[in-house]
Amino acid sequence: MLHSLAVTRKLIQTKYPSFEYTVFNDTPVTPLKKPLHECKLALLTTGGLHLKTDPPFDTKFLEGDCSYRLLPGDIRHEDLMVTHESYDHKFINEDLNCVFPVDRMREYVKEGKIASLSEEHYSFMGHIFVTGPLLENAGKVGCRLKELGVDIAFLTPT
Amino acid sequence: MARELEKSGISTVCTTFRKELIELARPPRILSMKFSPGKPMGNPGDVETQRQIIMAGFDLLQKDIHDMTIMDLPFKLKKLGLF
Repeated sequence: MLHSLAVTRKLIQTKYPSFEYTVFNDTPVTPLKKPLHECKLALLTTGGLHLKTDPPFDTKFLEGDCSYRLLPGDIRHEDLMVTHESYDHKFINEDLNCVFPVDRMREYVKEGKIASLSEEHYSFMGHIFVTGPLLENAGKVGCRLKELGVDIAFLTPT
Repeated sequence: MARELEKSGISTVCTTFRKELIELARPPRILSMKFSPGKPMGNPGDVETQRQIIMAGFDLLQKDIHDMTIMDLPFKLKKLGLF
């Protein structure tokens, strides 16, 4: 079962005593600026996915690995592996779309629901206890996706 | 993460199985489901649920929102390990 926030905090603090949740009080909102069928979409996950040819995420770094990996638009399940110790990989091993719904999004492009998928998708790790570098890297990914003309990011935390 | 993307001018929608946690970060568009860790889009091979989740996200993206907006989706997995 999932623990309450307070219990989760205590559990994390046994490993990382100074841990505290990062809390925000505002919500930045970018409205969709064009009809959905004209939009370009990218996928982002914190599932620890990466190309088999790329370096794995560092699961031993106590503060959490804030780096990210590019997943090409033409990615295939067999090109990927997962480096993430905090969830059971049996689901994604059976069906990539459980975590990274790229096949479903490709269907929606074919059906004309959205215009296209990004040439680049991105993957991060979860279980990050110090979030500053993560926010910085998320900003870099955001700028890159904007350069690519992406309108929508669909995020799947694991 | 969604916050930084929004600041970059990209509209985001996030799935979550821990609503109370994601509420701390206050991203603008949240799809909340009672799923287990490791399958934010549902069970392997459940194409229909995956498509329904995405369609809910598309609906949320087209709404005129100005603050964190949470859409509670009715999907709940049967016991499969954690639930």
